[in-house]
Amino acid sequence: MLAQPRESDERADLPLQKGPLVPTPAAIRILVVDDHPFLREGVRAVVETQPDMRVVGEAESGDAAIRLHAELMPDVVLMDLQMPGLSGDQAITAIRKRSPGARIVVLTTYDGDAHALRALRAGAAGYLLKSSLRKDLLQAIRSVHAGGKHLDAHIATDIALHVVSEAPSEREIAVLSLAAQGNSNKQIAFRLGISEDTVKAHMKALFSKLGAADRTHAVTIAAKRGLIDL
Amino acid sequence: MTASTFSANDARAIGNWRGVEIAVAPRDAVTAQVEIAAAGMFTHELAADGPAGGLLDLDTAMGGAVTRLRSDGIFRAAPGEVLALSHVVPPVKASTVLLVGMGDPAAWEATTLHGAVSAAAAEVLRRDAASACFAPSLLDSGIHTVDPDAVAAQMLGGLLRGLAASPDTSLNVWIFCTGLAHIESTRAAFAKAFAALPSA
Repeated sequence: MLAQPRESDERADLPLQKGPLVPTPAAIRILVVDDHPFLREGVRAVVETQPDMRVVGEAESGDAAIRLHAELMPDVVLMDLQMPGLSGDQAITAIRKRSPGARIVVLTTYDGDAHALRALRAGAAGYLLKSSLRKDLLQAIRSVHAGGKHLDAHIATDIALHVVSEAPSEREIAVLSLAAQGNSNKQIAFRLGISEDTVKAHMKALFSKLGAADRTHAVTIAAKRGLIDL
Repeated sequence: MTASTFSANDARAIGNWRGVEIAVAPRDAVTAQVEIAAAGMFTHELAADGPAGGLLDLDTAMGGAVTRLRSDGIFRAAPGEVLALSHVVPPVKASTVLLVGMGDPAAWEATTLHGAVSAAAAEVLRRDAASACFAPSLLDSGIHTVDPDAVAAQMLGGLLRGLAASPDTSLNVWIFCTGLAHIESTRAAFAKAFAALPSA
């Protein structure tokens, strides 16, 4: 947790030092959540050029994001997905459970359909790639703050493209995750407490569902779509 | 800018409201050459086989994303709900598409469009666009009983309400989309609604 601006002795950590001396009363209050300090600094630098926006806190993990959100009650949260400890989508679920009206924009490097679907189903109102332009980020913040939603069309199309393919089951994903870690079918069978023939059946089903030619191809596709983490 | 946008869209002028040229054009959310293309969308279509016309074209152009986002609950199409899709690629001419919720089609009234256009206009202004269009998607959603005068008055009223929220705007062209077969009757209905405005 990097900023706790409700604590009087931590006011010096606030971006107000670097931003406008007198922020606009109606400024959109933003919490930035990312484990990379450079990313947080970059977002802060972009946001603080805007008179109607203000970064009120930064968090470096999902757990810290939940605590800070409850404390600061920001208008908009900019949330990374991959962080140590609690992941971004888990943090979104927890924040939205406590604050159903929380407005959250995912800002991530992940462009897989599974990542986006998980985040959006968890309650994210926006999904942007970190490669997005500055203008997109600012528009998304304003739009989401006003009650709208914002999605990169590439992500939306990606989500739609995979509707025609049957989603792999949890068990199949577990099998593929172990395969991605270098386990043989025999080792996977042992670790999951199933037979080797069942592992082979899961693999065959996975190849069909993912349109994969072989084991490596299946792992590659699943990682790209965000179905497994490497 | 205004002239070229009009020409590119074969638009028919309705009037100018505080610097914004309002027109109707035989375009839809795919074919309109504007920065932001807004399309109205209900929670479902009255026809069992889903959307038709321009809304179907938009869904097809975006790989089925429009209907998928709705069926997944990511966009619920509640009245006034707005989902922006940025970085839209051809064949859609606009760079951003707004899906604007219009609720249950069975409960549809002309006033539904007032809220939808108002929400779309507010989002267009928020995004600082110079040109935008709105496609109501009524016929595309299976709604055929439409009073053109009432629809035009409500859509125009919604636009003015949306514009009023932000007087300093870079928006200079707003186009209401319609089918080529209805262009003249739609233009006449909007012209009548515009003439009835207190300070038009």
